[in-house]
Amino acid sequence: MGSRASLHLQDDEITAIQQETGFLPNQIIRLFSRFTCLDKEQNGFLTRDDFSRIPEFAINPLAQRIVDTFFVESEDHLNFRQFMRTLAHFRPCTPKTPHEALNSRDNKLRFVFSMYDYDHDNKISKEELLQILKLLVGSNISKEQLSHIAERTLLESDKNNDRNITFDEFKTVMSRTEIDHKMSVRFLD
Amino acid sequence: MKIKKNFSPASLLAVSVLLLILILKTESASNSDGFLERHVNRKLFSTDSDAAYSGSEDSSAEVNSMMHDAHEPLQSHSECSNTSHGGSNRFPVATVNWQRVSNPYIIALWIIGAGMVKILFHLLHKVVSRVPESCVLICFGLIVGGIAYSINKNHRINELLFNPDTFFLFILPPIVMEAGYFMPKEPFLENLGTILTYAIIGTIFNALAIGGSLYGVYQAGWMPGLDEFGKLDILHCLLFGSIISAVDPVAVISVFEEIHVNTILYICVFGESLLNDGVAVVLFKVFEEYIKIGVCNIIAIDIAAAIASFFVVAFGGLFIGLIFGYVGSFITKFTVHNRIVEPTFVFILCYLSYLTAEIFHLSGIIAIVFAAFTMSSYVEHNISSKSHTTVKYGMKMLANIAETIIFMLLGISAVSDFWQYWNTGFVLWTLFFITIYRAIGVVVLTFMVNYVRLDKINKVDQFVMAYGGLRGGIAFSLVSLTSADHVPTIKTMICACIVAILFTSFVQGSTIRPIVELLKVKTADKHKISMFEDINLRLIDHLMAGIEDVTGHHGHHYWMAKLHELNTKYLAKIFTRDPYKSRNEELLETFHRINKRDAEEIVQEIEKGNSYGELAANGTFANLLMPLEMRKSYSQASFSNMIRQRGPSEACIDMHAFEAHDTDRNDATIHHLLEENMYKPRSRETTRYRRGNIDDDSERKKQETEIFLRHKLTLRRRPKHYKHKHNKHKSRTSSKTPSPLTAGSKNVLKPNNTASSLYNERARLLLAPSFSQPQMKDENKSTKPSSNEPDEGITFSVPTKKMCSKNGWNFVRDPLGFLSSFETLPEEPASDEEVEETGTTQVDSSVALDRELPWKRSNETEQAVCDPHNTAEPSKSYEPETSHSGQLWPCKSDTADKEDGEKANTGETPAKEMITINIHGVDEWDKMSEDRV
Repeated sequence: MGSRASLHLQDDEITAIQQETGFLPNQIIRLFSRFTCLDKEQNGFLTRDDFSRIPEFAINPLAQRIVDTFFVESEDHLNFRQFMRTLAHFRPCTPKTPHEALNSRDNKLRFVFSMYDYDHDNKISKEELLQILKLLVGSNISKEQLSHIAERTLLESDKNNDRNITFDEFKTVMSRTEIDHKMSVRFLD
Repeated sequence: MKIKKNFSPASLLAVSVLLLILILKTESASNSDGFLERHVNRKLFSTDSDAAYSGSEDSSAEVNSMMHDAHEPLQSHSECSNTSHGGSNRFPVATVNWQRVSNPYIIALWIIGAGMVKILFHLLHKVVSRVPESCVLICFGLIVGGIAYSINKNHRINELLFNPDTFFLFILPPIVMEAGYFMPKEPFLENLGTILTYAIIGTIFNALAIGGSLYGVYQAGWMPGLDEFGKLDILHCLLFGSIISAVDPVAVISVFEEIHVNTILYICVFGESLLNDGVAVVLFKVFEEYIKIGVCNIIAIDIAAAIASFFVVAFGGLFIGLIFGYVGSFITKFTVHNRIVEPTFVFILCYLSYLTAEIFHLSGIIAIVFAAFTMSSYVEHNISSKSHTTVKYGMKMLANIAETIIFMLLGISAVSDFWQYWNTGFVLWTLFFITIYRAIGVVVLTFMVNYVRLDKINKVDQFVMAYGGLRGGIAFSLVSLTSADHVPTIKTMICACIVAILFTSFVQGSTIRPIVELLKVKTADKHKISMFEDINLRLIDHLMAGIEDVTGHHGHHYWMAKLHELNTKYLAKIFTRDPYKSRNEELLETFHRINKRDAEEIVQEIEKGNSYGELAANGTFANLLMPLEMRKSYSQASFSNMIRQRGPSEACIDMHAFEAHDTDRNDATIHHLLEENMYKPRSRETTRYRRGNIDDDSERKKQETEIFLRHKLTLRRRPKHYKHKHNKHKSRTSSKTPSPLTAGSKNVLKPNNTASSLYNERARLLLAPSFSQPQMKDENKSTKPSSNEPDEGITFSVPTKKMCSKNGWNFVRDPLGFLSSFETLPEEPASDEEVEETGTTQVDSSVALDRELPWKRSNETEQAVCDPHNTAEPSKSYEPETSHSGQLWPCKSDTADKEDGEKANTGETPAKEMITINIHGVDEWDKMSEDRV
């Protein structure tokens, strides 16, 4: 599988991706084979359907949101480069990781933030929060309950009292959490 | 030393020592020479060892000999009856049958003694806080052992409690059960691989390496003098190695708990030391068998069998543990009407799992650990909160006692005649090897583990892990259970083992704390997780599981997600009474917890005597305002308001409503709620579950005196003209004060008046005086002592009577609500006195309830709570408002514009005819809050 997959992957592409994302060539090749494996139509890009075919996504309440994070807005195709760029957020990071690297703490947090921030206005509104909560908690909880939780959340996090959670506020909330390894996946070599 | 100052500890010490000596005496009955001793033994404790009497022990002889001193004639009769025993036995008036109860009696005395030592320890703890508890217990054991030894060299205390049966069947299970039950689930599962690596590979490596090295050293002739005691075999060495490689959880964990080391370190050491007990026991049994077979007779098949049996034993134990765990969870599903048996099931089923595993020679330790571990996940949802408390306390209690007994016995056994088998070489080599191999094992295994782990275990953690390898009770038990027939040098090994235990406990145990502090080991962040943080963490969990799915590599997120799915979808449905209502039950639990915490904080603040001014001064003011609406609704929901809110309105914010299904609108529940919520802040100190470290209740005493003072003051200040049938709960707020409800608030805030006028001073300075003064001016010029301004400042927000009575609900929306949230009062509708009375009673729980005499108190409470008026009336009388209050939350949340709402409210307030001054105050506060925010 790996050998066949690597056939499509040019060396210069690998180096380019490596530079951009920091993945090792072996990891890139492995992930590329995964990419082609997901790409059922063999057309070189992934669609949302491809993602939804991943069996485990059926039980993931946030599946849709996760898929959304892969796709740049209003685009239906995801090429390998974009695919890798998204995954690069989840490379393990150390305190030495440069700030601007994709897998830095900041960018990891930004990624989570963007999962909330559906309308890309750099703020989490109560509605956005509610949507995520609904996904997380399921439908058995009454709307009021969820609303209370959302309200509570907003109140405790919203420092500038604009009824929204900005990224800075978000960062403050998460400042004491060990995001670094919580949001890291071990990519096989 | 504290003891000298205080008589009771000294007497306690004396009593416990006496007790132990009594036990000793009882047990020191074997062939003694001295007349006195013989006399005593024969007359008092005629034990079976006394040949002359043992056979002819009949009850009358016993009773007579017991009464020896007092009734001389009877004694002669006893002599007579003794000599002619079996002959003319008269009917005895009273009989003594010591023999029958001796063993349990002695054990019971032991436990009492151990308990007293515990108490002593805590008195000593102030003096020697650096020394781990185990050391103190060992020391105490040494003292008792020394006394025992000096009285009788052949006392057999140890044998009585410390034989294989008692140890493995009674002493060990509680300890491991407790550990399994309180094992943090998520970290344990997340680090399972690491823990298993350390526990299994690490222990085997240690056993083999220590055993092999000892043998090598022995062969090299570096252990001079050992041959005198017997030949040392390679198997003997390995047996000893497996014994000594068992790291004891007790000592390390108590230290770790105190310092709050980070979760990973904690769980690794905890899990490892727990499971490696099981591994060590298995190894021990394997080598014991081998010794029986003989080193020359061992063939390959034996080794293969040993390896196979190892897995059978371990996984068999796991299997049995899981089965019993699930059975227990399942049974407790049906105990709704038999709450009292709930703890029994938990305890006995855990214990049964242990016994069952032992029947099949599987690892009972692993079985009971996992039985308790499994049960703790589900049982909690099934059993009542009180049963749960019982279970938790029971576990801790049993484990604590067992632990104490082990350590004391260790001390006692240390004073014995086996020291003549001392061999310096062997002991020193043992010490050397256990230290060095522990370090090597940890480093090598960590290196392996780190290859897989995402969050690497760093050098400091490794060091602490290696250094925390204390040896304890298990090692000692195993070594003292080995018979000299198999291992001729066992006495030397006991020496070495005891030295190793003492060395590790004393040297490492007492230095690990400073070292941890010195190395700045990452300590667990004890910050209370906020709601948003929790949501984020759950989100991240799902996200990571999703990402792992995308990459196609199933890492631990994948498995955790699977496990979670399995749990919520199937297991929880089978094993809990009301299955999870949502996918993320924990999220709701967090919400619930946060609610409670808010409430508790507020109550604590108030009980501590902090006024708002104080809070503001502490910079928590912003926080205060921030969750203002939340506090308003939540904290009150947790107190008095909850009752009312739950009654009339569906907009109950508290999660109780969620958890306790719908049938809760009756008095019983209210009572329950009250109990749960009101006593919390005070009982919190005592319900903290840390083994052997219960906080002293000086805080409580302070509170009590405070309450007493408050009570006095209240009485003194109660205005004459204020008439109310429950006026006990009322303070002086009078007809003049708009709402009698203020009374409660003043009660609550009374500390300002009494406990510390300092608070008031400060509070007054810090608190915006503008609204405290008007209040002063207007409202309370008559009654208040001058130091009461903060109160005034606070109480000012109490709406007019009119508003209160008319629209108690509406008031919640008042921006001042955050103030009222402290008082809980303004929202109390004053429509009818009963209701309001309830409110008062409930609000200042500690005040109202505790300042009553106990017998009155209960009555009072019941009256207040169960009075049909209180519960039925409110709901009726608020019926019209139900819709309105029902909007309470949705309103707030849906308008999504707090600012507007607040403004509207402020606009509303004047319309509600609040006292003009109050309005001033309102504005003041409003401004202030806005500024702050």
